[in-house]
Amino acid sequence: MTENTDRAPDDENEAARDRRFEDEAMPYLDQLYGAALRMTRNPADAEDLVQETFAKAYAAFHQYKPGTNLKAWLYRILTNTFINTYRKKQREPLQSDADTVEDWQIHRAASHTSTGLRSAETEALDSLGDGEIKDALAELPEDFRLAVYLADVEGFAYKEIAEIMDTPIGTVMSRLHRGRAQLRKLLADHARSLGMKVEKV
Amino acid sequence: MNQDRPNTGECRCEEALEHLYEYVDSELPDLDLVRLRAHIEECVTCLQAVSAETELRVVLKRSCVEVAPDALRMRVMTQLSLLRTTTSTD
Repeated sequence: MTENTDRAPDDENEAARDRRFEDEAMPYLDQLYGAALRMTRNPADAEDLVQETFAKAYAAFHQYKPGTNLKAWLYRILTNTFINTYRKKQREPLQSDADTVEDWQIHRAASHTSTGLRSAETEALDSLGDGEIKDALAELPEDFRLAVYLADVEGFAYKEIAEIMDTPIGTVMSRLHRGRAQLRKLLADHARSLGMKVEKV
Repeated sequence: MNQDRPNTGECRCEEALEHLYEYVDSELPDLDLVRLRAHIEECVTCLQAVSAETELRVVLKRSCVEVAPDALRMRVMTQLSLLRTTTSTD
C-alpha cells in the first residue's frame, strides 16, 4: 500500500472535503447538542459549545482519518473544548478523583452487592420522568457525569472514553463505577421522594 | 479482570456481581466472559442484576434524547460557510 491513509485523501480538493464534512459531521449535531447540554447544564452554553466544536472540527478535519470513528473524534473535540473553556467559566470546583484507583478497586470488591439496582428500583425508574432522570444526572460531579454519559447513553467503549477524556482506562472504570453508584442512589432518592416504594439502598 | 485470578473453574455470584459493569459493557476478555455468562444464565439473582443494568441504560438513553434547536443548526451552517469563504480567499 502506497496510499497515505493517515489523513484525508491527498487528491481531495477543498470543496470535496467541505462537502464530506457537512455530509458526515452534521448528522451528529443533535447528539453533540445532547452531550453539550449534559456537560454545561444550560442551553445557551450548550449551543455555544456545539458551535465552537464544529468550528474546531472543521478546521482540523484534514487530520481526521477517513474510516475511523468520526463520532469519537467529534466527542473528543467537544470534551476538550468543554474542559478548556466552559469548566473554567462555570467555576465548578474541579472534580478530581478523590480516591485513587486502587482505593476504588478495594471499595468495589467490598461493596459490589450494593451497586446493582434492585428490581423494585427498576420499576420505580419507569415512573420517573425524563426531567427527573436528567436532574439526577446533572447532580453527578462533572467527571463522573461525563464518563457515565459517554458509556451509558452514547455507548462508547472504555478505550474510547479514555481517549475522549484523555485519562487512563483505570480512571475511566473508577469514574464509571462511582458515577453509576451515585446515579442509582440519586434515582432511588428521587423515586422515594415521589412516594414510590423503593427498598432502602 | 485481575491478572492473578485463575481463568478456570466455576464463576460464582460474588465474582459475577463484582464484574457486572464490565459484563454489561461488553468489556470482559473472552475467557472471563464465557465463565461469567455460564453462571449468569443459570442464576436468577445475577440475571436480574444484568437486566436492571440494561434497563437503566435504556431509560437513560431515552431521557437524554435531544434535538438541536433550528437556530443552532443555522448558526453552525452559517459559520461553516463563513469559514469556507475565509479559507478559500486566503
